[in-house]
Amino acid sequence: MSGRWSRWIHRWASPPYFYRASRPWGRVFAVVSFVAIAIGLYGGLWLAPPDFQQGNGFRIIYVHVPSAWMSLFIFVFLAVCGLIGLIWRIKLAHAMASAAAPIGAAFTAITLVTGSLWAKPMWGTFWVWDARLTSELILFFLYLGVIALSRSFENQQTGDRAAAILAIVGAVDVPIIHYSVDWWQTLHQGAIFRGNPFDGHLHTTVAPSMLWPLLVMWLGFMCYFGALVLWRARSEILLRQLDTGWAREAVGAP
Amino acid sequence: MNGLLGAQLRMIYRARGDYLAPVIFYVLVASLFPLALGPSPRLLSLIAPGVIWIDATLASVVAFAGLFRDDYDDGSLEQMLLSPRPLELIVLVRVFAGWVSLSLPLVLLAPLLALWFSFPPPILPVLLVSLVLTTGCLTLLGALGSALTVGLRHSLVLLPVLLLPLATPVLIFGAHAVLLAERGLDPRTPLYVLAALFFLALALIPKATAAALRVALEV
Amino acid sequence: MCGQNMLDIEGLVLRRGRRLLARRIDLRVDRGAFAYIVGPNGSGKSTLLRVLAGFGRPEEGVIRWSGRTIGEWGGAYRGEVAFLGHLEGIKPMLTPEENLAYRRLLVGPTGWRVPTPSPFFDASALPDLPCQRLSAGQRRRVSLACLEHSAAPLWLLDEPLTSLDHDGVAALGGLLARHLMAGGTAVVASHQPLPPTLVPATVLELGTKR
Repeated sequence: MSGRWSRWIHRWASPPYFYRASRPWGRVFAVVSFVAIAIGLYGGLWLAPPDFQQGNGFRIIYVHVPSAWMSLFIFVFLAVCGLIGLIWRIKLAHAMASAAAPIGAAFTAITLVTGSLWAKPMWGTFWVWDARLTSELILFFLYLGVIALSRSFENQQTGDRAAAILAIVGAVDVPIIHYSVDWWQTLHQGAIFRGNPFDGHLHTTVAPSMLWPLLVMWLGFMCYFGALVLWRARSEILLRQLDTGWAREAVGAP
Repeated sequence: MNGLLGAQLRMIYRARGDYLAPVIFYVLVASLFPLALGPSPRLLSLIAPGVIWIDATLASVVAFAGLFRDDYDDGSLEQMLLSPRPLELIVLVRVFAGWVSLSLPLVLLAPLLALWFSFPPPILPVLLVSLVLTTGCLTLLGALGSALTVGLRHSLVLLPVLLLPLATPVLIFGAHAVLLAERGLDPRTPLYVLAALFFLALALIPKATAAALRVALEV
Repeated sequence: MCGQNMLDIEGLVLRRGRRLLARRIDLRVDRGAFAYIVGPNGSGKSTLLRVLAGFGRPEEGVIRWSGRTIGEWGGAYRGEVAFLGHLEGIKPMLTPEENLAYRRLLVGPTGWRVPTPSPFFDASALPDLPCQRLSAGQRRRVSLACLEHSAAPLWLLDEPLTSLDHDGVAALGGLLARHLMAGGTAVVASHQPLPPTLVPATVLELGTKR
């Protein structure tokens, strides 16, 4: 069993094989993500009933909440890729991480923007130091740090490995940051505003007609990430391996 | 290990002039707040914990940027990595020497800052305990940041970008322990969490730092 | 097939970043012998020595020391190697003797030996000042003194003749000869000619055919 697994891993870790074999997967992900996001948007924007408190304003959660989930998931993805790359010295893992980091940062940015758009009707201002938004802001800075570190080395490999270490430490820190910001929030509760509409929708009573579009949107976002990360990783390894025969062949260079 | 620590401390003592600048930075930044916000004692004592924590965090980040820089530049990092002793232990010795030379002055100067910011004296012990734990965490994080950027020439701006987000929990619990004490509430919860964070960092970061140093010296 | 203190390199591909430095290096150095690496600047001499010292792992090719690859040696490999690079590896704030003591702490008691005294590398004969106030040649002597005390069987010397005067070159020759006589092995990279007393078992030319 383990032999089969390690053979499978090593086959996929080989850049030429990955380059060829990942193309159909990327297409599958792209199609599924398109369909799922279309269904999810239809379900969320038309079928789900308006919220009894927030009216139609709540519908932004169909972008906001899956983006927030993705922003956390992709950071964990970075750390796992980093671990694989550092321990088994699989370069493909670093290429994947390097492809995924900007996508994660983008999801974090979307979370922040949609969150502040939601804050405007809720609290009358575009920014409040709400626990979730604050954690996302720090997560955004963590992403920027990982990206900046990986790009500041002349030697690609050094940058990859340094960024991998930072991503692993960051992934350990992310739950601590969340916890600390939550704690900080409870201390200052009432100072600025009360209640958290995000939690109201996710943890108490959610009507099934409101919930299923959210889950479908999340599936769509996951597949969108899958398609995008494969596509970016494919160009990344082509760039990195341009001095090898297979890569020159793939881009049609002499 | 005692010998190694002794050698580190001796080197720090001989280069003591280099370690003065971060301390001056720390005191200087603190003195800017009354200038910017006005000298009202009520306002100053209100913002004091935040000011001291942000100031200590910035001073630590600036100070620890160069923790492994000299070792990298003079080649002794290569010799450290070739030592049969566990690199994590050597890192730990280096970190402790760094804490003594760079962070301990910040802790010891805290009473001075407390005086400037009209801090109620009974809270001083809480301030000192939480500062010791905070600077312990920051020293470890700073060592990691220094190791990650040791091969880079322009790391002075990059390093805060890497470290400050990681340091937010320490900032929150450290400053709030003092804030709670100032309001007459029980500061033990954040202090316990801070201690837990310190031990977690102590367990994990030397390993990550050692890995980062190996990466820095890779061909 | 690969005996004690024998270095065996097979099909090593050297890269620095994305630049290919050497396509395929095969090198075998027996116990008591040394290999001499020559080549112009940037041909990969230092990179080869750093790879041999275990700073980074080669992407392709195998390095065996005493029959085991560096990966199989794991952390124990560090005790086998003495490395003298472009940088002296001595602390500018410590005096020559303190530097020796510091290095001794780093390598531990098993990696440290007390050599037959040779006047040239005697740290106590140097001024008792922090090394930053010594001349380049004097600092070089301190780092060679550290090397002289090293009990590691594999010596990797990168441009060891830099900043040495005529006597220094001769003394280094003697030092290396004693190391080899005692059953050690060495790889020396230099673009300066070695003293005539030292005859390399193998000469590896890098960067000639690209």
